[in-house]
Amino acid sequence: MLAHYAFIGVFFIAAASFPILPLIGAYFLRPSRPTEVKLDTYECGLEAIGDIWVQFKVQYYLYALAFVVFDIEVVFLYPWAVAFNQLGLFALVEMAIFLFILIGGLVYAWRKGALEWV
Amino acid sequence: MLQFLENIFGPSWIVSLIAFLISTTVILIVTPVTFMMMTWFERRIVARMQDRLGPNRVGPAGLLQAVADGVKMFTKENITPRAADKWVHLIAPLVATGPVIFLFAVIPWGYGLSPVDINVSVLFVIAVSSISAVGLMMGGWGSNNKFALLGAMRAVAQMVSYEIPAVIALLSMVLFTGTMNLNKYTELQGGLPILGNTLKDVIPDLGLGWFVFTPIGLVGFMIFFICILSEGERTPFDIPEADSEIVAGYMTEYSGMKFAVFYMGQFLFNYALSMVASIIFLGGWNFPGIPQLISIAPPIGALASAVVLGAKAWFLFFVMIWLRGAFPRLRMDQLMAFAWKFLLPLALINILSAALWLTIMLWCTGDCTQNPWVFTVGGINPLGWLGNSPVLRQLVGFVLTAIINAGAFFWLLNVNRRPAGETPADLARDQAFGTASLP
Repeated sequence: MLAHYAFIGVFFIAAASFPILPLIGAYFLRPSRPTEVKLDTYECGLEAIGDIWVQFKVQYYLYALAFVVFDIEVVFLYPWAVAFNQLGLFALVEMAIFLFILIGGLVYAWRKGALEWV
Repeated sequence: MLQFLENIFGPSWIVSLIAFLISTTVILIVTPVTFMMMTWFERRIVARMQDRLGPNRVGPAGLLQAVADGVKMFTKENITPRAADKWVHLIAPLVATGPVIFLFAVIPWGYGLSPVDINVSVLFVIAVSSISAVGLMMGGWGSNNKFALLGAMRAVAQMVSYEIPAVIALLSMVLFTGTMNLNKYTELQGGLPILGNTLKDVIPDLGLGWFVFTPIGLVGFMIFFICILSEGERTPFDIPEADSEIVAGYMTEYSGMKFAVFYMGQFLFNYALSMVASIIFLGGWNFPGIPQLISIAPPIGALASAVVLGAKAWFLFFVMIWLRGAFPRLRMDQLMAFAWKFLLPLALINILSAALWLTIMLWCTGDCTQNPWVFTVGGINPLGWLGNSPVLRQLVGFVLTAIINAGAFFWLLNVNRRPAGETPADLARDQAFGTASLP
């Protein structure tokens, strides 16, 4: 079994270096004639106006918070799902309570309008 | 591969290393070729749908078009804008694409053709597939361009939103099968539709016990497939690179090979997740005749199983292209509402119905002194009538979960319906301008 994880280690190195190879190949093949205008920031052919650090909707952060809550929920659910056969009815009821608390949270966020894109 | 070589030469670290290097080389040759075929396939199919011809000049039926594109990409100038953060700009495509290639470490290609057989491959797929979002954010941030930053914000918001329903849809299947090993999923999906392997002794193995035929698997497959579309940024979810709004999103400032690396990551991500969906929901390499072929002639069976699995994955990719040809792009608010108000509650209900199905299957009747799966009311077993026949249990579970899942589906459709009293004019205005004003 351990050998399998060794393979994942070998493959990790291969996968990480794989996209680098075409970049190195292209480095030797491509032309490089930078000009002043070519290196400008693209903005529909006009000169870039103002700062790029524009304001963002706060909804992005609300969704990110909801994401963290549900991602952690999933971390708790996976071991339960794998061991479901052995755990019996007690664990099922406990997990159902856990799930309903989270569904309650989702309903609350929904009612409060945290999931609206206004 | 490792098993095969160990059988011949005996276990040794050199043998292991050689086996690893062979598998790695094969994967790293097959995946780019797959990517090239996919670009050709998509362009041809979309062209057909739009009543055009598509690339048909380079090689037979335009098959070598992808090679020509590769040559072009290699010889294109690499422009890094003056304002960009040079290193972040350079590393972003690597961070976006590396994890996608890494995904192929655990995905089996056919019977006995898995690069590695670990018990947590589903968890591995989930964990590694979400790293790409970091690369997209780096690309958008490092470009120092308004459109790129907007595209990156949208891409990350979309990826995290659709990751949750996808992961929960997979969770319901992990619950259903009790395993996270992708190789085991195929074994479990032999036999007959709905009944699976229960009647294996009576009826020959047809290889049709695909989970997509059960109510839990059907809902899980729907959710997971929609989430693949979204995470791979396919139409109708290609908002992060909506070319009519924000040029090319986080890829705006990329050119030449860096752009090609991003592009390859995206296509291979679609392919990897199509493979995962085919294995988990569409029966892997199960198909009538394949189990028999594997038991008669293992090498030919393995080859045939790889063809079947590949055909399923390519079919899913074809459906993605089909959707691209058929649907317009969603709006950002519709996209987020769809993930959080429809897919997520449906996925959660799907977990509960999977748990219910398993409870029915595992419920103990008869002598239950050591069994945790029983609950008696006044000395009477409330589900004692289920008896010992798995067929009856499966049918009861099928009907109950079908009712729950169908009810949840239509209930959620109803909850998400537009408010009554809205005139067609309101609707048209909303569709034209949207409810969103700020980015």
